[in-house]
Amino acid sequence: MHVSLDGFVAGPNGEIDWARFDDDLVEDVQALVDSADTALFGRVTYQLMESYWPTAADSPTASKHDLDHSRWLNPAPKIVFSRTLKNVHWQNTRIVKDHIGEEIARLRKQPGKNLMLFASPTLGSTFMNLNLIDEYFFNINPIVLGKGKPLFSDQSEMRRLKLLGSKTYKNGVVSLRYRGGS
Amino acid sequence: MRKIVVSEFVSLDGVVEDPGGAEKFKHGGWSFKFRDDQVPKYKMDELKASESLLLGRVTYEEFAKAWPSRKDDVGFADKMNNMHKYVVSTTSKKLDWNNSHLIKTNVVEEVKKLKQQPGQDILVYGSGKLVNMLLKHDLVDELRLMVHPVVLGSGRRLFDDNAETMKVLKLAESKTFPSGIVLLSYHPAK
Repeated sequence: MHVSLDGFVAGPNGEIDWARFDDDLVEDVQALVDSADTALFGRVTYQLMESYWPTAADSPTASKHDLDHSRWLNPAPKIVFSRTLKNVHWQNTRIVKDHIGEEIARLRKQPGKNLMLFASPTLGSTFMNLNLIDEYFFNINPIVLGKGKPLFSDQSEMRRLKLLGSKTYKNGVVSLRYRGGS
Repeated sequence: MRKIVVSEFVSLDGVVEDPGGAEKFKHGGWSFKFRDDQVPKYKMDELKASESLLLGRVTYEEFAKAWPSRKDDVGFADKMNNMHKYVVSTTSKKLDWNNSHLIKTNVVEEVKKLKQQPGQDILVYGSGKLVNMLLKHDLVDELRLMVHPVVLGSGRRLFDDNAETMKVLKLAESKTFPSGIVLLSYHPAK
């Protein structure tokens, strides 16, 4: 996910227009997405996605990324973790209200590709506390936002990660890949 | 014209508090969990390229306690002890550490004057409050973050959580160390 230098994943009103993409980065993100076959979301990220992706590929101005990502995301199984969400309007989506750990353990046992958690910082922090994350991908953007929605929250304990790799893009984004740890 | 170089040890969640373990923070000394032989060399080269330190009061007081009694083979401590220290503080009265100078008022003007002198880099370690002030006034020429592969979960963060303005920077360099520390270095965007 995209992160500012001061550790925010969105501005105070959910702004993500500061996140920089270029062709190389989009290609790498798409390859990462292709390594997964199931999408996981928290409610806020899900609702943002649901308002965009079901019809994104229909627009005459759709980019190559819009088309590629739509082809993957729309048919993929999608799970929203939320206690408050009542209805979903996107194909192949279901709501999980509770027992996150058990749900993930069950999904892990099934054959298939990776499970990909998109953005969703609140759920991500919950996942971290439950030791559910195997790998992290952060795209560090060259910007200090000043305020916003933090990447990490409610982390009660110190957690060491292992750096797996880094890559620098021409647009100034540095992508960092870590293995989860404790 | 001298450059102001801000060089920070920072965790993945942006915490800069007490990487060296002198301040009684519950995770104090966290930077020592990540060691390799390239980081000390990098820090030595960085110090060699500098002739002054610019510090806030809190960082200065910790350093002034710790460094005068230190010695090492590569001359890091000698350099720290001998170089000029400019301390930004409205409350400090007496500065005990060798070669220290107090900046009490007109901080922005005084720092600008320092920058205009010829010479090597002016290095800022720690000094979170001062760094935010320098960033706000566009006085930082290079921001170096040594990002450690750890999420601390608590502690003082480098950037003001409620800064009024956003700042776009320009990536100057990134470098990976064997311990998993990543150096991210930035210039002002303009």
